[in-house]
Amino acid sequence: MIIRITINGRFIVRDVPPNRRLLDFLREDLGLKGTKYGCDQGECGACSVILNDKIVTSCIILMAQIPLNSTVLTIEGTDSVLQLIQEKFKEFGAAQCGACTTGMIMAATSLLHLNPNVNQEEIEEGLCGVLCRCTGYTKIYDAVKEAQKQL
Amino acid sequence: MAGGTDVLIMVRNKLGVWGESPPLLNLNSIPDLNFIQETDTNIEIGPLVTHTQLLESPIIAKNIPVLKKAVSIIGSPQIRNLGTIVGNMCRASPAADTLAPLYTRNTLVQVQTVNNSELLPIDEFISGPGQISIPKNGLVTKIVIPKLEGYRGDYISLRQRYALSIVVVSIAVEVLLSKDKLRIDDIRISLGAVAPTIVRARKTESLLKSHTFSEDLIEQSEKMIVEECRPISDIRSNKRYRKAMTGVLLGRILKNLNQYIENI
Repeated sequence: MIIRITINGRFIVRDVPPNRRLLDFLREDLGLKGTKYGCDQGECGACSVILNDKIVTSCIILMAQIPLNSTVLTIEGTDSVLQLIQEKFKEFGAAQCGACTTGMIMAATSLLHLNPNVNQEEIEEGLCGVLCRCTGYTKIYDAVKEAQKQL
Repeated sequence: MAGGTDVLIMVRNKLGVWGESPPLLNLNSIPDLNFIQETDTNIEIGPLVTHTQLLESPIIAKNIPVLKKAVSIIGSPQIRNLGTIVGNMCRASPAADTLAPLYTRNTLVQVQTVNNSELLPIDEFISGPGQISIPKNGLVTKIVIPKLEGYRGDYISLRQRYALSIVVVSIAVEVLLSKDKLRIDDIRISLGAVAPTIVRARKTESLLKSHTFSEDLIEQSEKMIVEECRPISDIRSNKRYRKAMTGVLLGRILKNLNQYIENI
């Protein structure tokens, strides 16, 4: 099937098998390996990307499910909120092993896109779909709070 | 397939009937199946409606707040953006969050085939754990949720952690009080994860119905619901704990309601 999709601002037309997953399309076909391959079943959130302004796990979406002329934002994108959150993650040391970091940053970006004034509870809820087993989340929450102040 | 949050995982892991990689029909190519609409007596939801859409819908917030509460704790934002309520129902898990509120409403399921369309009560449509009665060429084209005027309700679920977890015990309750707020005119109680499907606690409902609210009545109902349910032990919890918790959760909801009445 022919897909027309805008990824990180770049318009792409490709012929893909309908059962190709968005995650494989990004990593294998486009070489965008910043999006991580984690649990492979929509649990860990490491593969999270923003599809049509909504945060989704790209490992459980087939290309056939994506509407024509959709937009995708991945960690490689140049969105200003995304850039700011990455800076703050660096500053606060909000990454340890790095497995969840892409997913966390994408979830945080989506959260601040939807609501630039989130409280602690809303940050926890917004990031709850990405599992981190290293940091204890505190530094991640701090980074998001600091990014929010500078929006 | 609509959201695919469960189906794709089952196909990839070759689980159950999905192991033989059956052909999948992509419902996303039929945008007309994406609707939440209100009629005089019902709320109708199409099979492409995601959990996030339900949370954002003023129709759901106004008419079925108990369902909204249940949907708000499903999975994670990622899963709620993809998964659908009709998919959650067709998966027929006894632990599905959306189902207990649908059972208290006596929800109807429209099953469409090429030549036929019928409305089935949800407790007939779901015939067992992971089992639904639908012909091979059938498609669920909407669910029909009757409105309830003047009812108050709540949904509580116990789980091992907040996000991305599966229910240990859940309960949905909807109550209609008499005009003087003293008597229970109608009460509907659904329990999740204590039987092969969601079940209504009919005996406990009839104990409470047409009775005046009292501490004593609440205590009796807690005892009865514990006796009435027949849970199993599994990976997430055990039988004894589940039984005990049905009483605790029902008590919690009724006590909240009692407090609300006293505060009027």
